[in-house]
Amino acid sequence: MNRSKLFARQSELGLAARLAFRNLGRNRRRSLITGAAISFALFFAIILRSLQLGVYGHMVSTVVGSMSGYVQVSDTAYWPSQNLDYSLYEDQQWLERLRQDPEVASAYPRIQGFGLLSVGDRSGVAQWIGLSPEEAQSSLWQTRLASGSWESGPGSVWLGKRLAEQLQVEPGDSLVAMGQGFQGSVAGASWVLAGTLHMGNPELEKRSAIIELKDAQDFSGAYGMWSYVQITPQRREINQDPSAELGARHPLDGAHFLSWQTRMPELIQTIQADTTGGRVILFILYVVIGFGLLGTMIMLANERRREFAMQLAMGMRRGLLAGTVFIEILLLSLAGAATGILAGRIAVLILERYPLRLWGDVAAAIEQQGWEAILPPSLDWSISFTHAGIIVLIALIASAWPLRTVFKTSPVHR
Amino acid sequence: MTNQALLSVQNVVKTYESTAGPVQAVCGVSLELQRGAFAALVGPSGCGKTTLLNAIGGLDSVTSGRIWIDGTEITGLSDRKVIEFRLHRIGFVFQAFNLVPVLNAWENVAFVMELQGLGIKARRDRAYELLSAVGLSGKEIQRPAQLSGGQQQRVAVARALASRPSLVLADEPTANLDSKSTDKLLDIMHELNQKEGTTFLFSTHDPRVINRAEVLFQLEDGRLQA
Repeated sequence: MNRSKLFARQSELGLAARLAFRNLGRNRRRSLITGAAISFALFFAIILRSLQLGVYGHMVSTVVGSMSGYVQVSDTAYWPSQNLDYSLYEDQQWLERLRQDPEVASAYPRIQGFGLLSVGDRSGVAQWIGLSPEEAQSSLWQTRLASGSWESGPGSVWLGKRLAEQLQVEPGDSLVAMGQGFQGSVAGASWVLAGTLHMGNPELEKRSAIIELKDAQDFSGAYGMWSYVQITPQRREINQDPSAELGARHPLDGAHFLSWQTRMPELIQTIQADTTGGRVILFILYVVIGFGLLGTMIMLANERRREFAMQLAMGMRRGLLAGTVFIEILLLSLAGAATGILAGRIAVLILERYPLRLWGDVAAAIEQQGWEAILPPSLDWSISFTHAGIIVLIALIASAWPLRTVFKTSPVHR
Repeated sequence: MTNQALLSVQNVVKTYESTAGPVQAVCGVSLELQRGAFAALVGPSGCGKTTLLNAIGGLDSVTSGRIWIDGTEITGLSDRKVIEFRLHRIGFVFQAFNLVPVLNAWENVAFVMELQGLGIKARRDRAYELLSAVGLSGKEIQRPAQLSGGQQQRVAVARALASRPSLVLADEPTANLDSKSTDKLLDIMHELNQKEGTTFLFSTHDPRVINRAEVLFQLEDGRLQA
C-alpha cells in the first residue's frame, strides 16, 4: 500500500469513528432505550448468576471448606465407610512439607467418628471431630463461637448450637459420650461443654461435637492416629481439583488424596442441576433481549437506507460504511454493558453486605436439605465480564441486519 | 469519442426486469459532451433522464453500450474501480439534499475529500472556500437541520465540487426549491462552471434550468431526440 493510500485509509477510519460516535446522539431516545435494554439485561444476568454461584460457593465452603475439606488425605480404604479402623499414622514431617507447598493454604489433621451424647435422660447422635490446636485457633473456628469460649482444658467439647439446644445444655454442663473406638474398642468419656458453635449449616449444627485432637485420640483409643488430613488449597473454585497435583508432590504411604468433588458427587449433581435451571432462565432473557435489539437494528437500517445509498454514491466503500455501522453498534453495546456491569457490581456488593435471607416454607425446605437459608452473592468479576461479553456479542449479531442492508443497498436507491 | 469530449455515451441501453416483463428505460442513446459544458438532459418524467444520469455516474450498470468519461471507459471498470473513479472524478448533486445529518456544513463539503485522504487543513480550507463561493460564509458549523432547503442544496453543490471533479451530475437539483433559491443556485453553479471550468450535466424538466443550460439533450421514451 503506497503512502497516499495509507493516508486515505487512516482518514477513512477517522471519518467512520466520528460518524459512528455522532450517530449515537442522532436519535437519543432510541440510543438510550437500546443502551438501557443492554444494561438491564446485564444487570439481571449478573445478579442472577452471582447469587447462583454465591449460593454454590456458600454450600461448598460451609459443607466442604470447614468440615470435610476441599482435599482429604486418608487411608485408601477410609472412603466411603469413614471407619476409624482405617486411620493414618501421624507423620509430622510429611505434614510440615505439605504445609510448605505454595498451593496449600492450610493443612490440618483430624480424627473423627460417630457416637452418642447424653445428659440426664436426653441423648443425641453426634459426629465427634478432633481438631488440632492450630485449627481450633484459626479464624474460621474462632468466628463460629455462639456462646462460651475457646479457652479450654482437657475434656472440653464444643457442640453445634442446635445439638446443644436439643440436649438442653449450656457452657459448663457435663455430658457423657459413648461410641465405637479403634479396632473394636468401646469409646467412652465425660466431657464438659466449653461453648456452642454456629456451623453455617443447620444439619451440621444438629450433629457436630468438636473436641481437641488429643482428647479425640484418647477417647477413641486411636493413639497417634489421624482419620485424615484436611487440606484447603489456594485455588478453591468449584471447577478446581488440585488433588492429583498435590498427591504427586507429597505422596504418603498407603494414603490417597481425594477432592471434595470425588467424595461428594451428590453436591456436584445438585449444583449441576441448579446451574442448568439458571442457564435456561438466562437463555430466555437473552432471547428476549436479542429480539428487542434486532427490532432496533431493523428500524435503524430502514431509517438510513437512503443515507447509505447517498454515501455509496459519493464514493464511500461499502466495507467502510459497514464498519461505521458496526462501530456505532459496538459503542452503543459497550456503553450499555459498562453501565450494566457498574449497576450489577454495586448491587452485588450490597447483597454481599446484606445477603438476602429466605423465609417461610422455602427457608424451612432449604434448611431441611442442610443449607442455611441465605443467598450470598459471588463477587467473582468473571461473571460480569462473561455476561457482558455474551450481551455485546448478541448486539453484534443483531447488527448483521443493518450490515446486510449496507451490502444490499444500491447507490441509486435514494 | 472526439478529442475534446469529456463525456461520450455510445449506444447505451438499459433494460429493467419488472413483473410485467422487461422495460427498456434507455434505448440506444449516444451523446457527447465537451469539457466545461453547462448541459441538461431534459424531458418529461419517466423518460429515462435519471436512469441515464445514474449510468453516466457509474451508479447503475448498463445493459449494453459504452460510456467514457475523461478518456476512461467506466462501463468496463470493476465495481471497486468505479467507486474509486466516482470518488475522484465525479461530483453529485441529488434532488433531495442528501447531506449527512450528523456532519456540519463544512464537514459535509469535506466528506469526499476525507474519503480521498486529504489532510484536515487542506479539507477545511477548500470547504470554507467553496462555502464562501456558494454564499454560505458563517454557516460552516451549522448542521443540515439548521439550514433551509436552498442552503442545504448549496452545501450539496459545494460538496460536489470539493474534489475538483471533471464532471458534476445533478439530478433534478431544483425540484425541491422555490424560485428565488433556484435562481440563486443556478447562478452559483454557472459561476463555478465559468470560474473552475467544471462540466455540469443536469437531468431536469424545470424550465428555469433548461433556460440556463447551454447544451440540451432531449429525451423521450428513453430515446434521444434530434
